[in-house]
Amino acid sequence: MQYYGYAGTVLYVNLTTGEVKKEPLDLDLAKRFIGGAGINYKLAYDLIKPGTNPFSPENPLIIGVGPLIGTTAPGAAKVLATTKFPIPASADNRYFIASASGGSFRFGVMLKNAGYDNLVITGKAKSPVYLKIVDENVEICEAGDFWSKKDAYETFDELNAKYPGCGVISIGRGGENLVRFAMAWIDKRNHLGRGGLGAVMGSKNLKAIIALGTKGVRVSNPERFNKEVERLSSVIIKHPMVQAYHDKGTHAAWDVVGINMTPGIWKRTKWDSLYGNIEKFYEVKGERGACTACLVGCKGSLRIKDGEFAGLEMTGSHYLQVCILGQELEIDNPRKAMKLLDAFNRDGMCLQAAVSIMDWLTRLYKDGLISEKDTGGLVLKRDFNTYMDLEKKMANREGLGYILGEGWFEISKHIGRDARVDYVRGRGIVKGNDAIYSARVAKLDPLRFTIMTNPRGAQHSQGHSQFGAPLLPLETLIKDVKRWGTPKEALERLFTPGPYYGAFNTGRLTAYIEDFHTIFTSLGLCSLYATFGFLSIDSLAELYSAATGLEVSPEELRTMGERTFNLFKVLNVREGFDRKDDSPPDVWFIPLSNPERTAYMTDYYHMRRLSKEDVEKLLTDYYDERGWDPDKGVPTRRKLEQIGLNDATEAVPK
Amino acid sequence: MSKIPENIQFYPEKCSGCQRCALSCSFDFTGSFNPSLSYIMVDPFTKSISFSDDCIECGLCADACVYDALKKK
Repeated sequence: MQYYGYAGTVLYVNLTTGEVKKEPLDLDLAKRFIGGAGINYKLAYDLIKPGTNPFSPENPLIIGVGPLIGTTAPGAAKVLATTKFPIPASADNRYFIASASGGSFRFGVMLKNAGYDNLVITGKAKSPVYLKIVDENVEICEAGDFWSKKDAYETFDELNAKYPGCGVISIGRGGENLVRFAMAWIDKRNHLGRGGLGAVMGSKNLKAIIALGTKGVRVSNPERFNKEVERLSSVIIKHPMVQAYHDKGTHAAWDVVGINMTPGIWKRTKWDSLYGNIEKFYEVKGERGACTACLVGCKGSLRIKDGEFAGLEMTGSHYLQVCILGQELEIDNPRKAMKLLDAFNRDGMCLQAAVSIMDWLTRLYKDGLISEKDTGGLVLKRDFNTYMDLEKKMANREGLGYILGEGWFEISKHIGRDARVDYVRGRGIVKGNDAIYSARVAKLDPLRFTIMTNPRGAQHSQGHSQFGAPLLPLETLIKDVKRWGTPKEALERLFTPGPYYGAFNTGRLTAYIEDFHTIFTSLGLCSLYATFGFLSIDSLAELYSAATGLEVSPEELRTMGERTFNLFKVLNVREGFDRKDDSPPDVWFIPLSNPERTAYMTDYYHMRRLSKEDVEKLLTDYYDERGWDPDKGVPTRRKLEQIGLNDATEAVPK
Repeated sequence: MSKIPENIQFYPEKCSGCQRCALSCSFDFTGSFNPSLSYIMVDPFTKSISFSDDCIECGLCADACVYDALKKK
């Protein structure tokens, strides 16, 4: 059977038994859940028994590359990795099932070219291994020379040299040692972060996965497909921000993203002069970098060209991350911030989680609220050397580092304080993940709202839209919402001003951006293309139909996105999650001051200061818009039946 | 592998490694997006490129490049 868009095979590898199994992709599954994240969720639903320990051999690691990956569709390089994540998401040790996603320079296109849409890895190898996938040849290879000897970058370098042209997913010391916020690297340029996917690989003794293929990806209607790609490309490439990204990478968005991501400890002028000033960026700017088929190119490298740490070269980290780390830990030297970030990268640990933990503990230590008794004798000074030392302790799970690697709940228990209410300067912790963006600073737009509603908690990849830019005219925002395929009948409901939210109802809006992003991650597209409003539901339906030959209307595709998000939710309802896990962090409602200003939680237009009760009402609206039970915050059986999820109704309450 | 065709100028410092050139080339000549069958080979990590002896110097790779790394002379 000839597949178009899809490669046509799901690959199963059991690391315990060594069994390799290949099954044809069920196109009925594709028609229901699109591909990528969507098919991953269906496989997870069938494979993960509720209550499975994330580190048990039975917990599958499922990797999916959507039907547009491997083509020239703009931004089609997103690799989705689904598993039960090991970061404790609640005080009673529940764990969410979700997807980490990252772009790719080779892995996505090569897994597809090897002939696979989805890869399911179960079991646990007896000793360290890497998985080699070269077309039909699937082999579990001994990785003793890598484990505990090579960091995530070095592992990529060696495997890339050994198998020229391959894509690589690799982990570092953090993943090997089961740090619960360890991440995996894709091609040394992108990461599967937030929640500890690297540690799931570590629990399986799996150091790396390489993919290399020669089969090619066909599309059903080349003329129609290319016409839409060319039309989109010609528009996208003229966008001023794209031209700015070619030169500056994501630092082009410094004025928006940089500000939104941090609580702001320093004055803006200080942060600008030490880090944000464009000349500071150019001092360390390296080479351009773009994921496969991307027109934007946000993945440039950084390089210290001379002086202290000369020769340090960093791929996969935006300069913005250097800026954030610098301010959050009050390191006033960008070179040192880069050096510390490089250590996190090589050991494969989520920078955001690790740095926030360090910041919180340093504050407590300084205020005398914890002592050396709590830190295992460590003097927690706010300086570079202390943090370098602590990073190594985290990665190696030594002393205090052991507890830190267990995540926010265990740390809280250890020191007798609850990080969720105590870390006031933080960005809020939801389901065991701390937010990257500060809702108090950025305001409660749909992206910030997904911090609560996404089953993965405080992630940052399922809500990007034009609402991420501050104070845009309402007509621009409405145009964006239409682009997501939001039904006309909903628009009036979404944009009628209300007493507890301002000009539009963020809660109701969030349901639609989540579904739109679910289509992106299922097709294999980068969220940046939603951030800028480059791709509409009409374009996505056109690309999907032309690529796969499975004709869908924009409305049908939107329903596929909604169905897939509901399945994602149901997976987690089955694990015991409900409305109480979606609650807004208490710290959001405490004013946040820096030397220049005080930030309050408000609506997008700063019209109204929001209380916790207001946000709870918006949550009720969100569930209502989704047709879910607003009290429990979970899908109803009736809703699941309406959207074709009859086979998942038993997972939700009657 | 042959050297860069005479009608193409390559600016490695502008290359992002996106491989749109290789994807477009292979699609045009084989009917599928297949980097292994492209007449232009790109290493997205080192930004080095090479061309196969079968390259007919059509310039499609340069047309596909949005980073101005490949240009027709």
